[in-house]
Amino acid sequence: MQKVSFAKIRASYGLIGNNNIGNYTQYALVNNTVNAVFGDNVATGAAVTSLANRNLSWETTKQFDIGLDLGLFNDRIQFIYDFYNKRTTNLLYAVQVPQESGFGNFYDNIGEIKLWGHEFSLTTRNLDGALKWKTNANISFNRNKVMELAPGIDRVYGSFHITQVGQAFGQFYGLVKEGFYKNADDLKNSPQAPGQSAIGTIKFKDVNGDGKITYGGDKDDRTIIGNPFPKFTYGLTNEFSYKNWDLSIAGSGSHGNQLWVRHLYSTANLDGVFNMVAGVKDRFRVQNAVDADGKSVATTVISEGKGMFGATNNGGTYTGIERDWNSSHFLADASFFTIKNVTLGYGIGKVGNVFKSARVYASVQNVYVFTKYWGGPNPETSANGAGNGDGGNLSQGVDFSNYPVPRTWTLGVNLNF
Amino acid sequence: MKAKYIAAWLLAVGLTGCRENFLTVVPETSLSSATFFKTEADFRQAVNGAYVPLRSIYNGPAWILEEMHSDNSYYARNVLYGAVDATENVANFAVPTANGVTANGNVLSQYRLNYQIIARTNQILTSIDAVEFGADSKNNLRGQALFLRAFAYFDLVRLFGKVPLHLTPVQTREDAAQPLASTEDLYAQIEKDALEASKLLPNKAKQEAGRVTSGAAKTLLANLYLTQKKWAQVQPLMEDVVKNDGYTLMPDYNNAFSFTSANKNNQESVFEVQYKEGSEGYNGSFVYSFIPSPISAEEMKPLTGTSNTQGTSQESNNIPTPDIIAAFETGDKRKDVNIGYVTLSGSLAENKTYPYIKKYTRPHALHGNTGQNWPVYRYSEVLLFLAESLNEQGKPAEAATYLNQVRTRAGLAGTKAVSQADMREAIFKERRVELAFENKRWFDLTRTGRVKEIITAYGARIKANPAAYYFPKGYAPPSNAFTILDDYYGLPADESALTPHF
Repeated sequence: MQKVSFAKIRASYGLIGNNNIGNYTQYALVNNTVNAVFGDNVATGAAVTSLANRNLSWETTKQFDIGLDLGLFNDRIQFIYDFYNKRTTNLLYAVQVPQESGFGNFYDNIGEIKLWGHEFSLTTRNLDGALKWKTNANISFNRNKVMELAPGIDRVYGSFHITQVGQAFGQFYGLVKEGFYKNADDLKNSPQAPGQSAIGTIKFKDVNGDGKITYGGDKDDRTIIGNPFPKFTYGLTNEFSYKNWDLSIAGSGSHGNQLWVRHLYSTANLDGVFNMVAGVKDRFRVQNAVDADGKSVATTVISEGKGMFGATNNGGTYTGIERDWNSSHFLADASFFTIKNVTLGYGIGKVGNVFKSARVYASVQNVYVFTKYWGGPNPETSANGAGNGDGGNLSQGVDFSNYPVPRTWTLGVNLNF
Repeated sequence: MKAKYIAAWLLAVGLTGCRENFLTVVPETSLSSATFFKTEADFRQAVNGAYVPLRSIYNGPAWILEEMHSDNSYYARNVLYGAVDATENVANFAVPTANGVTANGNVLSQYRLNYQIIARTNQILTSIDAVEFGADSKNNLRGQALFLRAFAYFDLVRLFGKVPLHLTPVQTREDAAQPLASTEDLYAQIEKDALEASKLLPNKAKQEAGRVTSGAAKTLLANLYLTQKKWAQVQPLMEDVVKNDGYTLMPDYNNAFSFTSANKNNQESVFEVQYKEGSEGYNGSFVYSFIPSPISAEEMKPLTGTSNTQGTSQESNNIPTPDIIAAFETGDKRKDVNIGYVTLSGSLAENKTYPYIKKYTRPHALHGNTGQNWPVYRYSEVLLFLAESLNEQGKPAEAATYLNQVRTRAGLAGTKAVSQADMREAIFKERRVELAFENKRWFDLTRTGRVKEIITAYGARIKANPAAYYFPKGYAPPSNAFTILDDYYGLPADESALTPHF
């Protein structure tokens, strides 16, 4: 038996253009239904709705791949490895511009992004007798890094994300949640958000050490708090067959990525207009009292809750900066492993004179998800794009409460003529 | 042989086939600036489009930033309703501001909407001269664009003090952020534009109703001079409007304000932001922010008279304060036009009867959809501008004539003020009640340098008696209320993140 039954080294290099600019993006477009009213008359109005860029061009990707295919012991073990390295320059991007220009963004070719990754796949035929058992395992490590944005711009903000030179794109950005102000001493001895902090309300980390919690501006305490991209993704498939029986079990998973639990803005809102997540009942609770100045202040702690949700400020329904300031409060570990499919089949062989062969099978899709994700039923969700007012590659990993993935049971018969 | 022919043909095509613009494909299915701004009709449409952001400004952030940010109106705390701190902070003089920048959403939208007007008018003003058409029409269109640009900058300079100055359309990404211009430079540009507009625009008799006129431009210019305390320059402008532009006070103060379709752009109106009731999307809805809440459909019905009346459960704003109610003299007919009362069975406050702004709450057809115009400049303000300019120049007796025209219409006797100081106070008070809830109060406080004096006392009154300012029992303004008494708002944080200049 040959030790190495197959070996191949692959390599490729290419330049790829992306001209997916959209029609007429280089022009300033005019909308002629921006109508005015004068007295009782409607007068047709027009306004330029986008900024022109006559120099708009293609984006270019230089890609280098190298790979190794290896078959060992009569291909009982097959191993595939790939490495890719892409550099995309002149990215087509709607760069946000200050709206003193009258417009929100400017389509331009900016920056450079480097994407690289390692992909391994191992297929083994473990048993080759009457009982056959084949296993495929694969794992991928994908990374990216922003090498350059536009001249003079070193960061681009999204609603919950930041893309910064020297970092992976679309990182979660906000304050770091440390817990809640547990009592009057804790409040007094910790940095506060002026006018916002009270006993039982959310406590953030004073990242710049100036003794105050500040959101935005020069004394910003926001920092990169999480990553929507996994450290690695992986898959595992096992196939068994014995006589007429066949069984396959396939699963896949992702590790080290986080999701922004976007729906908490509504589902942890005590205004009474939404149904809420159950955890809110275990929020921090305080007794409010009116002090000598006639203002309402938190005094007595009734319950510290379970550390997830804080008290409302001033005794109302409004949770204040816990809801309004982006922070790690909204982040959840979204690592998971899902058993995607289990199929059990039985081959019947020839049936009468009509069917050459037949097989009956039962299969289950989306069998079980192993995860610690608490933000919803589906750790694979991401509402980037429609629905959350955000979108694109720079703002991935947002859970805006999508439909859960259904578990599907199938019973079937395959008939071959 | 054949190859030679083909080569020759290719060469011929190659040399003659491509004109310079061969690769320039002008969009045929959508309008672009490459084909627009070529005819008189294009410019008329562009000018119309430049008015449009005013609807959003006056429906939304303007009254929050310019009226609720004063002792004239407050919010009625509804503890069943949350996420209202952006507006409460404005009313409480507690807008979180650091290094001249604030994340307040009202500030952001007011800023951006004004710059939409500026971008649209800049586009018109840079391209209109290159297109040939009738002088009268061109002057009128240029005048309207100049007015609107000056008007937007005047609002910005009074709100922020210093803002970026854009006078041409943005062409490159680098152009989009401009350095902050000084207050003086902004004033100078507003003066130049408003002055030119006042000369180019026709007067009210000749202009289509609802568009800006020479009278409106003169009033805007006078308002600027008043803010700059250039009293001698206010006087001739306002005398010109009084003598030559044909405005008169409506005999009844109640009729100075538009109904959902009647009384628009009346003889007293110098400039109004135009709304139209209906489903086309040109309506206002500001009244619905002002009606106290939580209100049931039955309680709402007498106020709006709509066929599909619904209750609301929001936190309502621009609720008249006890201070402004007390500012009306006995017998002032304007009090009942401005202030109405409604009792809310669902209120958690001990006193369930709330005042509301009655002069905007007019019967109409559709719930949440009104056609009332917003009064920006009225002839009574022209008279008060004139009175103020005369008094400041040491002529209180002459000032009294114009002040008393306004008082007479309100059913009041002539002013008792004689000295310049008394007259100054009388005009200041008269402006408060005559122009109540017309977004004048905050700018009157800043331009007279009286923010700290008046707001400190006002804040103390609220803190001493929250129940009188519509707080339910056990609730009060936040601890940082009435701590930020600057004349200007911080610049918007979202803009600060995108520009290197602030």
